Amino acid sequence: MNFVERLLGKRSSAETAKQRLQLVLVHDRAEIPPGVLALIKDDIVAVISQRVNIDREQVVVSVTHEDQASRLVVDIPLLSGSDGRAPGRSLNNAPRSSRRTPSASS
Amino acid sequence: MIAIKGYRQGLLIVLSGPPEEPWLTRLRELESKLNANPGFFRGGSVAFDAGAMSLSEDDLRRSMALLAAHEITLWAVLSRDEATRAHVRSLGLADRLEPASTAPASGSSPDNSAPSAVASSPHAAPAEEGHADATDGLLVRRRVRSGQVLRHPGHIVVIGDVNPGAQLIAGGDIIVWGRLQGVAHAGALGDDQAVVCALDMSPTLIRIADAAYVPRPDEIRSRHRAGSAETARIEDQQIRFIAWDKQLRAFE
Amino acid sequence: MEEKVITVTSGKGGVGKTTTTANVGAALALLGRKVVVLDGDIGLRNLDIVMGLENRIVYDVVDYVEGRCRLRQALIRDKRASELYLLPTAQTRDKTAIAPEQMVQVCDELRKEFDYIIIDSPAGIERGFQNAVAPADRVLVVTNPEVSSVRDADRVIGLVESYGKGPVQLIINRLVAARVRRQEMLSTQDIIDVLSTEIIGIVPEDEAILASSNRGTPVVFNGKSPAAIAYRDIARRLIGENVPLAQPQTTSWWQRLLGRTE
Repeated sequence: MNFVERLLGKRSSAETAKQRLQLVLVHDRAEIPPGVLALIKDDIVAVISQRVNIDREQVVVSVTHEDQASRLVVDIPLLSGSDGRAPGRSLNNAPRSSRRTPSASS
Repeated sequence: MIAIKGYRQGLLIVLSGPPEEPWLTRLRELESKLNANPGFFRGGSVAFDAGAMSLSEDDLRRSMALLAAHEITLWAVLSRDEATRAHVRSLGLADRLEPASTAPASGSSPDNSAPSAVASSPHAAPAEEGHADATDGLLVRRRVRSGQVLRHPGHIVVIGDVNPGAQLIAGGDIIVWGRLQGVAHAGALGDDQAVVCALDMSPTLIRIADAAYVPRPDEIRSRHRAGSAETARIEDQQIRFIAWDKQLRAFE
Repeated sequence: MEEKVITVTSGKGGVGKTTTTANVGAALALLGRKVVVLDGDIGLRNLDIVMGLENRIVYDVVDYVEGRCRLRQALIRDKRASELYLLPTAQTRDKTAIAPEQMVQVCDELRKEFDYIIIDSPAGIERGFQNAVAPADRVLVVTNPEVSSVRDADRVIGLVESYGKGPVQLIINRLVAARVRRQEMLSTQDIIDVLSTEIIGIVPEDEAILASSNRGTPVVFNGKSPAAIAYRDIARRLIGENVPLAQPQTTSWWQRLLGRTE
């Protein structure tokens, strides 16, 4: 890796290796396969966005390992202007009937 | 009376005697033989031939324990008695000399293993039926690789190289028509007149009866480079190497 | 039966089995074959890292064998070649998690779909090695031109032959022609003298290998380095092409002048 390459911001292969290693070791210690995090993220985004307006693109799900303990860390930015309802869900102002009937959409 | 025979599948120990002689007596006779020649048996696996004797499960367990104490594995017991054969099978032992091949349960290969470790000359160990005289030889026509062990109460002849890490253990002589680089133990049942011959004598360890010789690494290399056929034999209680041309005179 | 399942083993660790599996598998895929590389090292998985696919593991072969997923879910597709897949192994189990018969079953399933199944054997000669060899149609043994590596290769060749899976084919990895010339390193002929097996490839020591494993990009994807060429030649020989072994110049011109043979 020469000076010009460094100047152009190219990462040396050792740096790439170090980054990959840090990630893979954290996963090994937490005993969560790396690909599973992507699935967890999808699950969390699907569930949370039913209740709150969130910025899906910026959601981060990661695993940390400190002091012999592993943590699943989830960072979900909320979108401003939310009134507590997720977009796309109609407001149901209809009064409740005395008898419970299953609603057509739920 | 204990007889040791060499078969394609390895050693067969025949424990015969008068019908009223108890099994324990025969085991004791075997034990003294094992104590007299530990180097020959240690690490190997053997089969028993109990003839017409009727053996209980306890007899068999005691046999296995005796062998285990000498680092020998019992893998088969031949018997003409049906009840004995049933006990043998219930202990997980074979009741006949199956051909030795197929993937082993443990990581180690049985003695004399690999399909072509079969003698193909009149002087070689015979097939399962029929008995061999203990002076018959084992003839092997292939390279003997690291980790493999050839063990035979008679002579062992290898047409091929013997790699470092391989072992040849013979009650008789050892002849290697090729490069000997592993471990050779001739006269392993106590015969100090046995010899080891090789076209290229570069063993890591050579033993004849109770004598042993460990060549120095540079000595092994120089032997290998000189490349002369040699015979190793005991003279004045020490193992000496005699080059082929000089040896012609020594044998006269 | 076609020879689809190829096990790469060595006896000794650290001689380049995993790098060989990754590169030979990738090279076969670049030749248009449908290939899956299988990590045989339960508990110490490495093939995923060398291939650069470690971040995509969700299920592994142990999950499949224990019924927690379908085989398709455990296979990871490598997008750098047309039909190259990885079947990873578990990191948190040990070698007893799978029995040889189960490995045979897994490979029988894979045979239905793939042209080649390359198994990366773990080091050693115990359970992991037996698991890797059990389903093999052919076995490639990797060795370095170095005494203990050749000794271990010899042991492994003897075992594989005793299982009836021989004859094996040998790959000499990390050869340095200059050191052979100076007689510091065993030559190809020295190795053949001891091992007496057919050679299917000679891979020279190559700086590019380290960077490739750092980045998770097998060298054959980047083409021109000596090791890449050697691995691609091995793949061609595996599919039956006649590619002569490029004998590295291990006698100097001076030695050849004096008539010294190798």
